Amino acid sequence: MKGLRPGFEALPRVRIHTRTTSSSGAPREEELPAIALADALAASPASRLILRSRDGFSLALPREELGSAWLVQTGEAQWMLVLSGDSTRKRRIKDIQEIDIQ
Amino acid sequence: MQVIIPLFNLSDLPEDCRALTPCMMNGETVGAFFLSPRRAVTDVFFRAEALMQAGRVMILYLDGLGYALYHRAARRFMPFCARTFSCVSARTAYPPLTQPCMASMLTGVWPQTHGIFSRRDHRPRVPSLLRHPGAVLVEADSAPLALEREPVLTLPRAGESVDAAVLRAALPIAAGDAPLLIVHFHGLDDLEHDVGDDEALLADKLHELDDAVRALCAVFRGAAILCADHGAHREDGAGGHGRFDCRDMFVPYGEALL
Repeated sequence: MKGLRPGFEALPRVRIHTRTTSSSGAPREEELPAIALADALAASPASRLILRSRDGFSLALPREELGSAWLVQTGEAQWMLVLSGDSTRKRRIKDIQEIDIQ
Repeated sequence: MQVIIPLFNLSDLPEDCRALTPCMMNGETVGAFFLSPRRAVTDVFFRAEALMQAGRVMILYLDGLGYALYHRAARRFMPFCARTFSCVSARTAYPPLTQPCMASMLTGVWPQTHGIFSRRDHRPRVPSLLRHPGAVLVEADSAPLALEREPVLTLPRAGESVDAAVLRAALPIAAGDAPLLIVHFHGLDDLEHDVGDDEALLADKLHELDDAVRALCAVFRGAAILCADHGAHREDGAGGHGRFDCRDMFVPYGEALL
């Protein structure tokens, strides 16, 4: 995946606790095995990252939030971004296609 | 069947009333408008296309600003907008969520044609205003739709609101020569999810948006369109949108020559 270093899939996974709120339903709490995004990046960002999903969604992530950004594997070669410090639904990006390091 | 007009939900209307205009989704009637709305959010696309024949166009897109809220609050909390745009009500797309409604604003067609029905859909099936060379869309930190051009994504600095960051990015573009500028302010919708559509609780945000619109209009020369994607209503102690409800389904629409 563009923006991630080769072999990042083999990095150690830790269990993260997430809580997702939604205006249309009850909060959902989950324990997920995850890789720290900071460890998986191909380079260190100067200011921010732009993450783009296969379905067309994109999100700018400031360098300061990198410490709470995690990659969770959802399928073969499919990765979701989870921001553990933010519980709104838009801060989960499913099926990331590329990460632009800026 | 729910029947609505811009400021009220109507009850006890006979379903065979000839003045009803049904609102459809996937072949099913989700509700009806009493009297056909004169304006719709799809007009943003057609009016922008027409106005671009004469010069530059700026679309001021205030996410979550319903017509009922605007009608109650504009004179007190958004005096510049009220004075400059003379907004009327416009119906929006169903469901009244950002992705389907924004797609209707920017493509000129309804969800059954552009194919955006939910928050999970991002790629419209039809061309949008962003196909025009030089068109610029300024967003907050995320882009709800994947259009012909990458948007300018903005991140707030320390102590800055999301809308202040959008304004900071949009001001030099408004002062420049881009033929079409779309500025998407999302902070009101974020706040409405917490507090609902009570104008007193939203007053500071409405003031901030009014100031932002005034700042952009001060540096822009051309035609400006003020609009929104959907409104919001209070429920269960917070706010939400997505229902066939007058507060969600009608938004303000106005134009000004600057």
